Amino acid sequence: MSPSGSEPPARPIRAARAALSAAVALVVAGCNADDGNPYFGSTTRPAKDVATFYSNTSGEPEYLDPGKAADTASAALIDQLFEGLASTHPGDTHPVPGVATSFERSADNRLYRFHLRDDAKWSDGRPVTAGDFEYAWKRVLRPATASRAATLLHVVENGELFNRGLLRVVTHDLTLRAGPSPGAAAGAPLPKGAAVEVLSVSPRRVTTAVAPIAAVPPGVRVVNFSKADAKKGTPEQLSLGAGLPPLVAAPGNAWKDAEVEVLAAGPEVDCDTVADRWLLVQRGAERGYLPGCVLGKSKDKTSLVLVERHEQVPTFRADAPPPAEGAKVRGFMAEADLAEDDRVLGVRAVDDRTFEVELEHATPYFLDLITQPVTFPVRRDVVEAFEKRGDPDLWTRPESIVTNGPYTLSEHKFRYEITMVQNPHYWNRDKLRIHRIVWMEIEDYHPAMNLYKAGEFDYIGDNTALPAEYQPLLRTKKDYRNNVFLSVYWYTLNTRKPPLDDARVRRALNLAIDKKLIVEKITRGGQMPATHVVPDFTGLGYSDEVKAQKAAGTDIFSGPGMDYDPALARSLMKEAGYDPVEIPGGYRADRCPPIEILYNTNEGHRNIAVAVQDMWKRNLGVTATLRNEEFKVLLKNYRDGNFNIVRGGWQAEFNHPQTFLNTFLSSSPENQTGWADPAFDAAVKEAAATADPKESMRAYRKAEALAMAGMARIPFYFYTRSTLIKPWVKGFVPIPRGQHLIQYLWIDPDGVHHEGNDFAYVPTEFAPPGVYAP
Amino acid sequence: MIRYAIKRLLSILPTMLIVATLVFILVRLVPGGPFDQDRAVPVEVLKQLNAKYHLSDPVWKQYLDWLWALFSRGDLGPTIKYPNRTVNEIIGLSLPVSMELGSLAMLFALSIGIPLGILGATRQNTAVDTAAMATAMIGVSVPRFVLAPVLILAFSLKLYIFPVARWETWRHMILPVICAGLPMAAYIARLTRAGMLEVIRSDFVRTARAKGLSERQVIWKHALRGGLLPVVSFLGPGFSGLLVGSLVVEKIFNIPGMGRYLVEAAQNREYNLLVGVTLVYAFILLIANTIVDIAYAFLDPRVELR
Repeated sequence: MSPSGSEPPARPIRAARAALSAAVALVVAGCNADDGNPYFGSTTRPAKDVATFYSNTSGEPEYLDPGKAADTASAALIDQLFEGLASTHPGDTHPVPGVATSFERSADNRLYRFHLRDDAKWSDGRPVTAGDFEYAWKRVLRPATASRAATLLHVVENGELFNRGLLRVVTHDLTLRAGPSPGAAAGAPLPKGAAVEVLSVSPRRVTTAVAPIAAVPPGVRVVNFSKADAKKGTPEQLSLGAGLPPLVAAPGNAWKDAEVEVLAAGPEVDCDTVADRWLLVQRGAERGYLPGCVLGKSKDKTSLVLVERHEQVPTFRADAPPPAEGAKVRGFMAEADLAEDDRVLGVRAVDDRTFEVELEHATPYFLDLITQPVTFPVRRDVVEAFEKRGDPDLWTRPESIVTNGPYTLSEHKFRYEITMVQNPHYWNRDKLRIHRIVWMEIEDYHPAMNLYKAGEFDYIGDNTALPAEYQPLLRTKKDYRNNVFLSVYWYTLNTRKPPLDDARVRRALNLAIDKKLIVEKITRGGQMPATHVVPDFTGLGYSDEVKAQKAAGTDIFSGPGMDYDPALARSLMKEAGYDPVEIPGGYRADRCPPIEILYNTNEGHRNIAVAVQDMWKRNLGVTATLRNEEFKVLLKNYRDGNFNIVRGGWQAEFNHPQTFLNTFLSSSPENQTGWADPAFDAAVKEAAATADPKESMRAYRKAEALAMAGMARIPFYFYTRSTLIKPWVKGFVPIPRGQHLIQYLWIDPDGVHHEGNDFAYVPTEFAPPGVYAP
Repeated sequence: MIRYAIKRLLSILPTMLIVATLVFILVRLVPGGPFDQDRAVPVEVLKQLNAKYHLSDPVWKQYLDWLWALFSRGDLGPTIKYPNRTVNEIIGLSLPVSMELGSLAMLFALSIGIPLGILGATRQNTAVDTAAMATAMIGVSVPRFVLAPVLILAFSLKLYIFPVARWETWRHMILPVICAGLPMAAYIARLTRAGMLEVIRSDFVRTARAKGLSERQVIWKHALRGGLLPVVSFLGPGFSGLLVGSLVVEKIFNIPGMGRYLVEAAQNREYNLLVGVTLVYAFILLIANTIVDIAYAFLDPRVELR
């Protein structure tokens, strides 16, 4: 409170102030007063019906379409409505039989055959078939579906190329026009149905070329140049090789509107951005070089594309030999002669009950992937009926949706409430104890906490983040649950910019952050300080490997050089030439340029950034400046590489280290750090291909060590998820990722007095898989 | 009079067009787009998405297409974050809720504010006046995000009289209406008091008193009509302010109204939704102002409408 001496004696103002401070005091007291209740709020359930469950989605789902959903509010609902080949165990989310009851796989983990149960039914009574899965997967990967979740299915044979619209099929027998690349087979025939990869599309319709483009004359140097150069008309001499006179770029104006033949072209670049390529062109006997952008559009509607024959097509044979390495068949053809054909994808329904998948590479987390919405089946007739009407997103409304999970949609009040009822045809319907779910869509945590406190929620929901200031109070309550969660909080460093271009500086910055202090004083939710990026508790064998290494004292991510160590950090800075000089109360490193920390506008992120700023100043004498931006603006700057250090993190897409390490691959669109290490890329590839699970995890740890040595991202902590669940809900166990399945829960109205926490039923387990044989 | 009304109503159209155009262009100048998310999406997928919503067209073409859809079909376009709802649907669902909350809050504010203001004015500089104005001051100063939790704590979580949130029965409406209306009531009380004081001192009131009319008659028959003029002129912006400004109330009580879309749509780069919602607010504000201006003429004989 401010001293009263300087205040004007106006009574109303003082009265208002008094009221305000009283009000604030009341709110704080109300939130934090420990009323002696061992639970947070009501312990008697206001609702009488024990078959109805009340929860929260924390927001309007973007899509209830499993193939398109990419946000957690959607996943919370889709997981109840649909069921994939596998489902997740309510205890620890390991895969258990869903629509598939058993499966076989090949020794190299690349081919899978699933056997579907024959009592799986859609909510309209029709059987769930392998064809529903085939349709659903192909639909997700179809470019026109434009699913933002499709990247997860890129593991399917040809999935990525197909999804990006780059893999097409030739519609009739034709002969390729020769391409500009050396060694290309001129005039190679392509039969109807051959798959080709589109390497590039002509920047302009280069059909001003009157004849097929000839091969590059030997010795021709093809160069890129910028659009600015084209405008300036910078002449550049190019040599055509021995025996030929040097050529000068043909002046654009002199050849205005001329019809030219394109003889050769430089490497393709996007004409609409910055750069273009040279084209070697001929008009009559005259030859010259022209910027590609100068060539005009032709009346011809089709573009010329450069394609390469794609030999790798699904065979569904474990013993099929890899396609022979030979000369690539490459050349130009008209785009109009290509069509999209989903038969190039490695998924097929052998019959109604058998579904087969061929993967591009060995994918150790594949079984986890098939528990995820993007792999769930959808009904072709329902979806296509709406696509035909031009409303492809309306089939998920309650009156039209057909689902195959335990529940189906009965009501959807936009941004308010969603009601689900039991799917009357669900194969395991007799085991369900919750027959109806009411999901309130409460986005703000104030009403969510209040509704929970008043007993109107049975569960506050998987996606409601409990605020940090409530944590100390809630931790004392019996209905509070805190569990590890598969996510990591990190700072992404731009290794292109000094001083961050020096790995020693990056490591020093990491060592100078006291992460334990950050989780204890700032985030306060029981998060685990991190020295590496894959959470210690990651599944499919990773956590076992971590435990084994810790027990043997060989954990590569703890101990000197890993934990908080300001002295070591300073010596690294010194090595890098930014010698920190001791001054009273800290250090100074004048030669080190200031580093900017960018974060999205949020109190929590700010608090961490301020702490880091202080630690770097105190421990290293490094000056950090803070900048906050609204999230979408930040994303733009991040993707444009317009940052020093940006706040970020990663939430596991599946329960396997690969999801975290993927983001460090040189080919990853997530890797905006400028850091790339071929040795790391190779190590990850090798780890994925290692069949023995234990060996594989060891290899992943080694790969991770390479990523950490590069320190392009500073890990802060592994997340926890804290939540509130009423004592009358039974069968609830916190899980490390994803959404709780309501089908395993049940209500015991007098549950506050009962200790037991059995699941409504226990799912069966997959038998060990058989060996895939053609 | 009728000519004036028609003239005013006609002038709404160009104003709205200007507003729509400005918002349409400004929102597209902000960095970031509707499909930006923390996880990277292949460029080809983004291209498909942009093409689907015609966002790859030049802005002038997007604008003309949007205008054409609006004028030919009354269609404000699709939304991106809620792919199975259109902007029209979203406004159709949320505007009535906001209107309900706004009207009730306004009613509440008037029925508290005006009597309090009159009380203050007629008993100027007495204890009653001070008490009334102090209450009003508190009402103006306490922000809604403080008022709401206090009300919820007292009436819902301790006394169990009203539900903590949501918008279902009349019981659900009481706390949000109080919360949205109270600051408004306080403001109206102060306006009424000031307006009344000014009128009470004027010549025609003195004349009325001199005629020997009772104080009650003086206040109710003569002073009130003039004294309420400031309140009436405040009603237009006040009402639309309630609609927009109930964002906090909508959030805390989780009311599915329209207030939140203004902020959200801007944050999500939800172009069509933002333009649509802005247009609705502009329309309400302009209509409310027109009605107020007309009402003015009825209340104040000195005002002549042309």
